[in-house]
Amino acid sequence: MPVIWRIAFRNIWEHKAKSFIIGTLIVLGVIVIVLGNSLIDSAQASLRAQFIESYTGDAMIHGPAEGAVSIFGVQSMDGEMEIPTIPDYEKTLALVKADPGVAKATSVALAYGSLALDAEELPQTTDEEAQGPQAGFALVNGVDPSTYFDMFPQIKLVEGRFLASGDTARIMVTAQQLTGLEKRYGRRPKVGDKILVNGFGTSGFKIREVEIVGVYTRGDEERDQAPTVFVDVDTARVLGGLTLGADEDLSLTPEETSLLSASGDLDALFGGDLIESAAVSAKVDVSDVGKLLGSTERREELNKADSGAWHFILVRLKNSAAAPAFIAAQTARLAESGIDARVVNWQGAAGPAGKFADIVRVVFVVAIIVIAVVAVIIMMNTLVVSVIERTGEIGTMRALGAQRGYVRKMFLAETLALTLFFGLVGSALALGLSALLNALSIQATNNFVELLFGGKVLHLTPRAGSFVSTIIMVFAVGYLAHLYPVSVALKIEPVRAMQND
Amino acid sequence: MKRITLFAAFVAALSLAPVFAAPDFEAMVRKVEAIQDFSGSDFSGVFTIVSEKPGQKQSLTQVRMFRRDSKEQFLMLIQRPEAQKGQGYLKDGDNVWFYDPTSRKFTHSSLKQNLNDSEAKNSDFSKKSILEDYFIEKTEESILGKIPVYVITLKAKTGESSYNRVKLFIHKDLALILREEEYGASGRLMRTTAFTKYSPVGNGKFFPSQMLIIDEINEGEKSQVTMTELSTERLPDKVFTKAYLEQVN
Repeated sequence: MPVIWRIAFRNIWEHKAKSFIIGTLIVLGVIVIVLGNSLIDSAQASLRAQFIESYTGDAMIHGPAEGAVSIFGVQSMDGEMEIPTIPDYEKTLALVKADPGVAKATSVALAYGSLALDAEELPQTTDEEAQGPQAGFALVNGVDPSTYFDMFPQIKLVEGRFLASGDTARIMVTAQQLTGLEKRYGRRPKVGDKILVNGFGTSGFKIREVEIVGVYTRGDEERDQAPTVFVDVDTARVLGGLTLGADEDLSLTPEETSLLSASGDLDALFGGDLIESAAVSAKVDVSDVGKLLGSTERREELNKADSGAWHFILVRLKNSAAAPAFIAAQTARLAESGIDARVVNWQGAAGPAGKFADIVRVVFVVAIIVIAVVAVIIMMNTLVVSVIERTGEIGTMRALGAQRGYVRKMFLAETLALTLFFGLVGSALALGLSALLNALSIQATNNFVELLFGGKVLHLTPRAGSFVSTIIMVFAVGYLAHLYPVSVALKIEPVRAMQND
Repeated sequence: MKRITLFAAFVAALSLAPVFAAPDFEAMVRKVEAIQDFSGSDFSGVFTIVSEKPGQKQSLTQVRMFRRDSKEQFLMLIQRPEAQKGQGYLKDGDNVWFYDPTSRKFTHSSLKQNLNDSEAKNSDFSKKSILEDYFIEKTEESILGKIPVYVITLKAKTGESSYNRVKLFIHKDLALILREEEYGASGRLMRTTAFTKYSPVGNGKFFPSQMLIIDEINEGEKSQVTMTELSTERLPDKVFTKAYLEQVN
């Protein structure tokens, strides 16, 4: 063993208190980082699997929008609700399917709505949960049944049947949604019954009566609390405003827009007569009901679903790891074809929910940085004290001809030996602790903890890479911490140092 | 002689007093509100709202409104756009129904229930004088176009009011609001409304028949509201029923 390492180990051993303080810090640091990373990795892996297998697939194609688009709609600061449709849908879908990496693809049209029963009025209830306007909120997913349920096999039937191609005015709900309706109306609808879906899209409110064909589950009660319902796509299109009437010519008269077209000077608007009698009618004939509205012939035509309109194409790849390459290639192909559509990965498609693990990781990293700075300061202090204790020894070594570089190497060897040894001890303890925590089968007590655990039970699987990166980080902390004490040591005059000894 | 001169001066001062005395602005605000208060009679009219947002095409909603404030009833029937023609809202007390003629279905909601989740109370929607929530902070005179107006600045009594300050530009002779400016707590102008036309609907009452609402926060966003076929004639009871909504379709 080179003499420098022998000196390093001897110093560690001789200054047991100092070594113990620094060692404890390193061990604790390694445990926290390894276990923390493992927890976040589990959360991210579970979230990723959940979304890819149940909601988003590996990638999503959507139309152009100013805000971020997810399977839940557009995230917009100004309350904009209009979800862009995919331009040139047939061509876009053909391009997606032509990619050899694509295993499955399906399309969705989304509408926002609420579930209700055809009732005269709501029964009086004391159940506060049932009273709120949120009780019936629904994300109405209009799907292509021939591909959607095949792509997301986690959606299982509890009762009835899946939606089928050619279905019109049909819906699939969860048992929780039926319970919500039961609480609200005092009777529980069953498969075969009709319920109402009130859509609130960008082109106003719409009501559609739909028949329940099936009750589905995503495997557990927590997931079934999501407000998703599945309907035939034309029902979703009408509820969401994807109708032929969306681009209706409004035929505005000059009187209806005269103030809008006036210049910015408001005072100029008061140039004419303030009082007008023309707007007054002496008698309103409400009995001639036919005259009130006039012809309603065009209404039926304008409320027909726009049969080519879809909001998203969801894609499942043969190899999920190839998603970044698929997104890059597909984006280029769409651009080449002149189609203004966007391709995002599962996290983009999942919206804010998919970024949960990333947010937790950022918070964790910030906390680790703060802890690291504190650790550097403590270690630096301990090392400075140790250097002062060893002033005589360093002076003697310098007097005997030890160069500055030698002393520097000596301290570096000591730091490296300390961090490596205690880093390994910390790693072993972290491994043991994670095994112990796994054995304890700690249950998640609420949704947030479940999200953090990545499941109902805490299960940690530390990555090998996490150990390596942690030990490198700990060494970096140790290296930074030893720089100042070394500079103190090197300032010692050999003669004076020997006098002190 | 001296006595006669003093008496003459006293009489002259008395006769000039109304000219120099400041108007009672609180009474003026109450009068402005009274002129537009239809709570004692039925009301009907056609409201056309055309809205503009930068980069978007104009949007239109035209509704025929039947109102009976004394019984907290209204029926709103959408006339335009064509795609929504015949849709209607019926309010009877706390109950509100929405009707969609394309599915011939109603959905019901209760105002009482909808308020359960919010801080709002039913009383928040009942009509009350602006002077209950605001006090007169400042008054001045000005000219709007060629019309002389009083400008009354109202300041919110508490932080719970929708706006921190409201500035009313009131026609000097007719006691009609010509312009209303609403300010936030920071003093920023949030919304301006210009009432450019009024219609006399009998009994000394007026209804604004043309107005422009400008969203001062989002530049370029504004709406014109035009009211026609205004009437305060009594309406048949059948108008405020679900059956009537079905019949007109």
